[in-house]
Amino acid sequence: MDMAAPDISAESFGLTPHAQLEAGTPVLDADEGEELAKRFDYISLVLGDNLNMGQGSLYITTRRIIWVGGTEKSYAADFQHINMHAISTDQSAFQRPCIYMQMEPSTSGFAGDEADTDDLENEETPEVRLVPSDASALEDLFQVLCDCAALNPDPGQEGDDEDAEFFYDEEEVLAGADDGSRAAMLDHYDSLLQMPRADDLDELVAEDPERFDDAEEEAGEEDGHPNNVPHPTRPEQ
Amino acid sequence: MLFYSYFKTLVGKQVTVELKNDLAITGTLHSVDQYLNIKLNNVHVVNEQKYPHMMSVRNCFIRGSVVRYVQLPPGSVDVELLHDATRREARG
Repeated sequence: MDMAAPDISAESFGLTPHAQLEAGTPVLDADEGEELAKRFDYISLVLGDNLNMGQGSLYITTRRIIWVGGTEKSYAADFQHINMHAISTDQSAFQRPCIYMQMEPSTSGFAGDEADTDDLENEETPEVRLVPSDASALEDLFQVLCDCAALNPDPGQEGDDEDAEFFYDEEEVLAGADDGSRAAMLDHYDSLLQMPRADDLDELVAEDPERFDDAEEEAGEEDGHPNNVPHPTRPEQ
Repeated sequence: MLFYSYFKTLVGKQVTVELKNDLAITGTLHSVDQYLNIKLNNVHVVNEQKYPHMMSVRNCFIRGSVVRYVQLPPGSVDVELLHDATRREARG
């Protein structure tokens, strides 16, 4: 039953109708590096609670999901517009195990990328379900969706900064270092903060007997650091 | 990326993630990535009336950019460590 696709409702569910097809297969944007991650067959697409679009094939790419239910019936959604997805198995919520998704409400089609997401709270959250005929495919479907969603952070999001790669390692973050040289600098500062042993101090003073002559006058002017150093006993001349 | 490092220490703990659409989901933190995408297991929904369908969900992937708040388990918040780390981050 290949009814004319109700495109307007699909858009209100955060989906873009009419994906570009070639011989029944979505045309990917290879120039932009888009690749097919995995194809799942016998997937029903359900908009909202019960608007069943029929059974088709789901193509999960590195950028979006594309569901193809016939030559005139295909829908796509960029991962940047899939706010969450989950495995749902409770049949009191939906009669079959499925992937439940919440979509970014489309404000003005998909040109609305820059829309303030804080406006979300005043909008209905579109819900879309992917229902495999074989429920055992759910785990795999979920995992591929996770993997590909992770490839598509929002532009300008925290972590997308150019220097973010320096922060991946937990130890580095805890050390406050964003690159190797800063870590080395911090180590250096740390070593400077060590108190000299009494012997070292005597040695230093012996090299320059007048070294600490004016320490008391300057103590107040030098951020108090000299106070950290025990006042040396003046060695015998 | 302080939050990323911090959230990684919460893996396996129970957290509540509040989305910008007011959905609040409690579950066991399975993983978090550098974009603060969050995966939860053993999920249940705090505000069931608003999102009845989410009651049935087991595993869930939440896009980092739609997270408003993450409620932390009080026992897992080392205030001293966080204080120090935030200061260092601010300085850096």
